[in-house]
This record gives sequence, C-alpha cells and structure tokens, in this order.
Amino acid sequence: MNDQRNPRGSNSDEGFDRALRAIHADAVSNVSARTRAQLQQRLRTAARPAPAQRHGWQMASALVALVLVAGAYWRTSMPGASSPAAVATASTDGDLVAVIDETPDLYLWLDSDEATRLASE
Amino acid sequence: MQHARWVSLSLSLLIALAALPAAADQPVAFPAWDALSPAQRDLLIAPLKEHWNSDPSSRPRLMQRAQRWQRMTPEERARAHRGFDRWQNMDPGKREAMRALFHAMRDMTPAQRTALQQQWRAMTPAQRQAWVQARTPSGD
Repeated sequence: MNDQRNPRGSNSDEGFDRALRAIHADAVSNVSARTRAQLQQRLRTAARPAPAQRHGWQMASALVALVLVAGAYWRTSMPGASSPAAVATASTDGDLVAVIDETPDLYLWLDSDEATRLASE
Repeated sequence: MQHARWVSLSLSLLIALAALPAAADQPVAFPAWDALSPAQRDLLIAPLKEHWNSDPSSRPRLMQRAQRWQRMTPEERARAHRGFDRWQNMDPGKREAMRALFHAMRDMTPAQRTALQQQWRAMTPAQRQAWVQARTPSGD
C-alpha cells in the first residue's frame, strides 16, 4: 500500500535492502569455514535444553497428559451435570487409577458387538 | 491402604464442601473440568499422581495409555467409558478371559477373529480357562 503511494520510497527500501545483503554476503565470505562450523555448533548447543531441563519437560508433559486423561475421564463419566467431586467421593476403589491400568483400546473393544457377544457366552 | 486413601480424599472434599458459605443444604454445582481451579484438579488427580510416583517402571506404559486417551475422539472416549463400566462390572475370571481375548484378537484378520469366536463358543468352561491361562497378555 505504501509502495503504491510512494514508489520512490519503495525503490529506496529495495536499494537499502540490496546494500545490506551485499555487506552481509561480504562479511560471511570473510569468515573461515572452520569458524562457521564452530559458530553453528555453538548455536545448536545453545538451542538444546540442558539435561535437567529436558527431564523437567518430560515430567511436565507426563503430568499434563495425566491431567488430560483425568479430565477426559471425568467429562465422560457423568454426562450432563457432572460433578467431579461427587464422582470422587462416590468411588471407593480408585476408578481413576483403574482406568489407566489397562490400555484404553481394551475398553473401546469392550463396547463393541464382538466383545458383547463373547462376554455373554 | 487404597481404601484409606479414598476415605482421606473423601474427607478432604467433605471439609472443603462444608467450608463453602452459602446454601449448605443445596447440592453444590461444580463447574466442568476446564473451569476447576488448579488446587481442585490436584485434589482429584492425587491418586493418579501417587500411582505415577510409586512405580517408576510403569511410567512409560502409563504415558502410552495417557497419550492414547488423548488421541481418542470424544465419541471413542464415550465408548471406552462404557467399556470401562462393563469391565468394572465383570468378575475377575471374566476380566481375565476378556483381556486374553482382546490381546489375542487385536492383530488378527476379520476371518481369524471369526474363527476364534467360533472356537471360543465350542469350548467347555475348563477348556476356556486353559486357553486363557496359556495366554499371558503383554500389557498393551
């Protein structure tokens, strides 16, 4: 939009951009391959989280996943007016722990016609 | 032990409820999960945290299951929840049989599954028991 209103300004920007790129290319060409490799290595190291940080992230994502499972469980456990506290107080054998003690695909399968037939035999 | 934990959790919740000011005789309407405070969520998932911390070797398996729950669609979660309800109502022998059947059938072709169902129907209770005992489910 500005370019349409001020074509001279646009040309000037392009010239400035070209000049800067030329200076950058010149500077890069004067850096040795060894120095460039070292800089890239340091950049990679700096970008990588420290081991403790990585561990923290793993723990955090694990807890987030568990919280999401809990959320999904409570949401589906009482359709409509669900009261998580009511479910928790009503439960006496740790449903929330039990729900994750088996693979969810087992529960999914148990709701199938095939499993219903097998269970009734 | 487990029972004691739940009693303690229930008591904590009851104390929290009693501390609520207005309308103590009215049923308390809690919000949906997403609207709960971090403290309320912590309280509710306390058993899960304890389970996670108590057995480090089971963490990869728990994580896998949690991720599978996450990947499920809402419709699949609803079905899984119905399946879980059925599971809760089964006696230990039936659970063992269903678990063994699930693990045996999950990688089968439809034709193989049908054949196993027919085989299962033809078995006596003793044969079924032997079949189940011969199969130790690998977990997932």
